[in-house]
Amino acid sequence: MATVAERIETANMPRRASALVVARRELRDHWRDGRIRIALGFTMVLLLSSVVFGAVAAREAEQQRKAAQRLMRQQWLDQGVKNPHSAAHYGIWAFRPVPALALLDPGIHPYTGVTVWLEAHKRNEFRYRPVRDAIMVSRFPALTGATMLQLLIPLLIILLGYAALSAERESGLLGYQLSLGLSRRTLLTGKVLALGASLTVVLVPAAALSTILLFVQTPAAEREHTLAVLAALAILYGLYYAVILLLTLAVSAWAPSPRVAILVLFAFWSTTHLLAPRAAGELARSLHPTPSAAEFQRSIAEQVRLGIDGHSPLDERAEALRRQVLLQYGKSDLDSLPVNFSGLALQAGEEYGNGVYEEHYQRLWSAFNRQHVTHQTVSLFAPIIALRSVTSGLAGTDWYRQQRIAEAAESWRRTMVKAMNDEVTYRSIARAYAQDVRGREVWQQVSDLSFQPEPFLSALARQSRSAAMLGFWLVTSLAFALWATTRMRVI
Amino acid sequence: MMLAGQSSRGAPHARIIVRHELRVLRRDRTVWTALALLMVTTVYGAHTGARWTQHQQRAVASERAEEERQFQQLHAAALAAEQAGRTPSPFDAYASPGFLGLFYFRSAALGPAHLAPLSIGQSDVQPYYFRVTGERRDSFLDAEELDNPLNLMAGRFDLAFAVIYVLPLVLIGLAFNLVSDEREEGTLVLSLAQPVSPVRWLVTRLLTRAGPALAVVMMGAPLALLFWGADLDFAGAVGLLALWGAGVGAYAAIWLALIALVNCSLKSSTHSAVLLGFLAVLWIMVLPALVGIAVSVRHPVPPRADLIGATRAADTRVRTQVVELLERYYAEHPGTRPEGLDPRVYNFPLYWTAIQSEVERQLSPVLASYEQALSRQERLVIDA
Repeated sequence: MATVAERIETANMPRRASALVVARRELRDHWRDGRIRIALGFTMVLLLSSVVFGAVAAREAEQQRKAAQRLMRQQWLDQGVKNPHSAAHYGIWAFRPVPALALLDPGIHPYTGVTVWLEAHKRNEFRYRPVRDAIMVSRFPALTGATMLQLLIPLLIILLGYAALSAERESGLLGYQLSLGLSRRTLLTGKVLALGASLTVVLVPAAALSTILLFVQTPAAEREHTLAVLAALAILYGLYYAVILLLTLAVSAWAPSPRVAILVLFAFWSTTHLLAPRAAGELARSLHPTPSAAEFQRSIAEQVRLGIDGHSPLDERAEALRRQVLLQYGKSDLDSLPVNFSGLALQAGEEYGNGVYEEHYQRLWSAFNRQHVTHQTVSLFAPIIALRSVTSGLAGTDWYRQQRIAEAAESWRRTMVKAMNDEVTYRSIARAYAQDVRGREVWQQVSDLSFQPEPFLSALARQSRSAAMLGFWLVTSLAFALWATTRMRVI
Repeated sequence: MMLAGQSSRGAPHARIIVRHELRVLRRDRTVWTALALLMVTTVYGAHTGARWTQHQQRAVASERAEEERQFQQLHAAALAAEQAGRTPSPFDAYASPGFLGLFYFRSAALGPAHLAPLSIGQSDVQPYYFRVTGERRDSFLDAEELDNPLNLMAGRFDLAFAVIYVLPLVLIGLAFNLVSDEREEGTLVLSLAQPVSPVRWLVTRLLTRAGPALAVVMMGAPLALLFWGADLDFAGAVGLLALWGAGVGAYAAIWLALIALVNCSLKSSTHSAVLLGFLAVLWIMVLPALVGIAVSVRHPVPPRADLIGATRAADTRVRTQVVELLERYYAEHPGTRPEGLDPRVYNFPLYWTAIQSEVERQLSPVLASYEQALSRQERLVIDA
């Protein structure tokens, strides 16, 4: 409650100073309210715990990945003496990298496979989604930094702000303050400053801890990138919290009582944060259906069968290739060719297969991308969807990044298979498959697989649509807050 | 609540309380909004569940049809060869059970259970059909269904979601001010002065408020499922649905008890709403998340990289022992030893099966470690 001295002081002050007095009084009320102290402390503990758990999980996952990738490379080198095409069949398993920023936002990582087998003839899917190796409780929102920042902090803002104006009207204090000459806009500014300050108390320790952990866990070369992303995330979360804060104050000003305000705000939070993302997922599935894995694989297999499979020299297309190669080299039989025809046939079959896979994956990913547009459209009604898109995009844990990783893995597979087929074609030491063998000196010529992180500016530019959606929400909520405060009943 | 002049018997009082309560509810817009929201989520949840199980049934049927088609083709090839008087080669699948097993598949499927539309659960991330071949015994490990990870991350909008998340929030919306409203308006003393026990008064009012919401879920869900084409025409359907209804009722009863407790403890409706909202978030979000962390820390599931590394190591190791493995097989199965031919070339299926069986034998402890960790996690949750 404001003291008489404060009220008189407020009336005679310039607008900025008055807003600070309003903010100071609001903050004092927050501090004096034991429930708010508990809520702030509880949220802070949960947030810090989620950052620590996230850091441990991300660090473990990345260490396991690096160890597994080293083991795969070693197994590739130690696979023994065999035909290069057998080596291509052996292939390697590639493991998806885990960016350091996954400690704050694991994004889609629990729902995508962690590894893919890169082998001859087949483009495989990433397998072993972590969520598959978990029990049902994992389908509840996990205790991650993203869950805390995206679901619980908005709820905390609602808790802090639902009564900010409605309770003052109910108690009669609002009319009293306005009668002292305090403008409605100044009052709103003061409340915004106070709620922002309370929120800062909760967020700053978590932000500091995240920065330290990220600094420790990130290789020196990537620190600049990580800190830039962290700064961008801070700005984006700040924007989002401003939206929720302004909406909360707007409802507090508009609602006839604190009871109605809290009900409306709880309804808003439940609808936009719990219902809308799920509804968007189901809507996306309905509007842009994807085939079952069996249908997808069957369609690929049928198309691949139409072409050269590389293992059937009597195949009609292999015959056409045989004639073409003989013509090209001016020879009459395969034995007199300066190259091994088996390698050419294998590579021709591989390239046909690559085309088939390319077409099918383009179609599948195009459906996924259209589903993403559906999610973004729903974010017109639920800004959390836009926020999730931006934060996971910047953290490098979104679908776009997964696509790039899958493409890089596929590109490595094609290069590796071609290198093995070229070995058969151009450096054959015997025509019989079992005798045409190589060893480690050839396997080590195949480069190790690595994934490059996306440059910060590119990741940021990619999120422009979602960021614009957040901007739209900010403008709308500011307009609503100003409108509601201006038209606010005093009694 | 004006009960003066009424009989002191319980039943008429209950009827009057219910009538009064329903009248109040009918005139409250919040109630209609909350019930409409619950109705929409129930109907849409039923739609999602029914559609998902239909998708699963189609996928299983399509795999079975494919299985049938490949064997029809094989049969036709065998007939054609027989009519042409052609001697089959050792690589012709119709003449070699070994190659048949390697190149043709039998479909193993676990179609959705009768009441699967009620809850999608983990069925969208666990394989429910896979191809059994002689190529690899653990083909089920690869059988993951295609789905956009963004949709999976958002979670399913099914009936389980409507019951677990939306029903408690609606119950809170309907009853958070059950007692505090009367206290704030000054009618609480008057109500409690009536010749009816406070417990009966509270419970009757609470059930009257919860009744419409529970009716929407318990009756709406089966009706919506039937409307969306779910198959509920099976023996014991009524019993199973009643059991599901009892589960929903028990879950709602826990929330109603909590609502009653908060109502009796706090003076203001606003504070009741805030505390109940906080408890809802604690129970349906924070606690499950903490349980998830606890079980994964107590019984961690080994990384899949371990399985992959072990599989490749075992495969490489076993290939160097294949001669011994085959010798053992021939000794245990007299008459199977091919005479004068390289067994790896002319009896490839046997060679392959010997390798895969040995790899599987060596990997069985690794494979079991995943199942064991998950079973222990389940047990820990149930015990907790």
